[in-house]
Amino acid sequence: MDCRNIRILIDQADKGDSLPLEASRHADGCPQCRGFADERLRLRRLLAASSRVTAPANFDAMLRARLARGRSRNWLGWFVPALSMRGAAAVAMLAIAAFAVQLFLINNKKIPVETAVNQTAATNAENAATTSGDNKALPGVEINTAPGAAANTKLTPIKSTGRRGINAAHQIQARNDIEPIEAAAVLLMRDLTLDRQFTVSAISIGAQPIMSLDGDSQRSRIVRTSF
Amino acid sequence: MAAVTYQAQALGLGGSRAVEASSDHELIAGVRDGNEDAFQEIVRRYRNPITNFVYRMLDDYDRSVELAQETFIRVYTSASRYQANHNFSTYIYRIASNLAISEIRQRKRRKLVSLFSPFTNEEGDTIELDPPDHSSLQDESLIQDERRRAVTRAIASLPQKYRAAIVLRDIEEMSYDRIAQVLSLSEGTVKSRINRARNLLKEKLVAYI
Repeated sequence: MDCRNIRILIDQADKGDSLPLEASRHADGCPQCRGFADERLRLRRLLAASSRVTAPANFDAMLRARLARGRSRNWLGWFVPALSMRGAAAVAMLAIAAFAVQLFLINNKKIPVETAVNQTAATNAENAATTSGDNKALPGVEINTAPGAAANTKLTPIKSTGRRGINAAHQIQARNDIEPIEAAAVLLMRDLTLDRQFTVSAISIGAQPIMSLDGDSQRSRIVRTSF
Repeated sequence: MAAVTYQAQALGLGGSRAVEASSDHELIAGVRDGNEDAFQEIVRRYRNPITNFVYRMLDDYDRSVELAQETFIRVYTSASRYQANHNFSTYIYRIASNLAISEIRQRKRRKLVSLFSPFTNEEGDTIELDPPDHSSLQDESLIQDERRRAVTRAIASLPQKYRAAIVLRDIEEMSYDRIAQVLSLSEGTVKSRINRARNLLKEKLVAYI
């Protein structure tokens, strides 16, 4: 057996001062391994001789007190969730409340039909669409926004069948046989167009049609739907 | 198992002598049956070794006492789930070891930069800078105190995975197979870690060996 294996035997000996027979024989004739064995023995003695700490005198009393506290907490434990869970529940409640308030406002807001598409929003949308470069690729629905000419335009809610937003926007059809309105857009939520009409604003909830306004013909068309 | 149950019943009826003479497995069976004396005896037997073991791991006496108590609380609360497959001492050391390792990891996360641990070994573990002190000391008691402090510091500066193994082996004097059970490692891994720990300690304690 070589020195490397002998040193493993020395290191793994149960007691530093009683080496396995093979290691002991080898170490007698090998000063390096003998030195290694002596060094390991001194180290093990040093560690074993290091002072041991003991538990404090009031250890049992403290332990009893902790156990008593634990018992009194246990029967209420199911009722008192962890702090993180309470925080998460509070955030969830706030989110639900905010959503409910917004939904309430949307459902109860009587929006007057306006005479023209909000030009600023349309211009912004135009800019956004132009920047993205896809306004010509999408065949939008045309809405005549010229005063007088737009009087017979109505957007009809249609259920989306394809990709959310874009297909729904494509399917919006102009109808001329219903009561006149001057300008409107459709709010899309979860693949459904709601049976309500809104003026186009820069910010809305859910899907929002982006209008492209043609300056010469005073006509606008939906070029895409944003979320 | 029947003997254990019988002894547990005896514990419920008997006095402190019966409790003191009981094995660890009998005591934990008594705890399971609600015998407070049996739990008290377990605490009496293990409070010092567990406190010492955790102290060697953390080098923080107050926290060690807290974690030793936490160890006993876990023994108490999970007594009904205890299975006598191993020695009870292996079981309780495993709880204490897990608590100590968890504490070390938490401290490691809290510690942003330490001037004493800018180095890592080849496995990525932080190695604290603890240069050997070669200066001479005058008084024998001072030498003893200094030696104890040096050993404590040297152990505390070891990487956590080496620390548990070397403390269980060279201070608690456990066998390799029991250390393997406590740390849930193979015996070969335990031997390797102890060897590495000793090599590191030899460098740190060169002035004392």
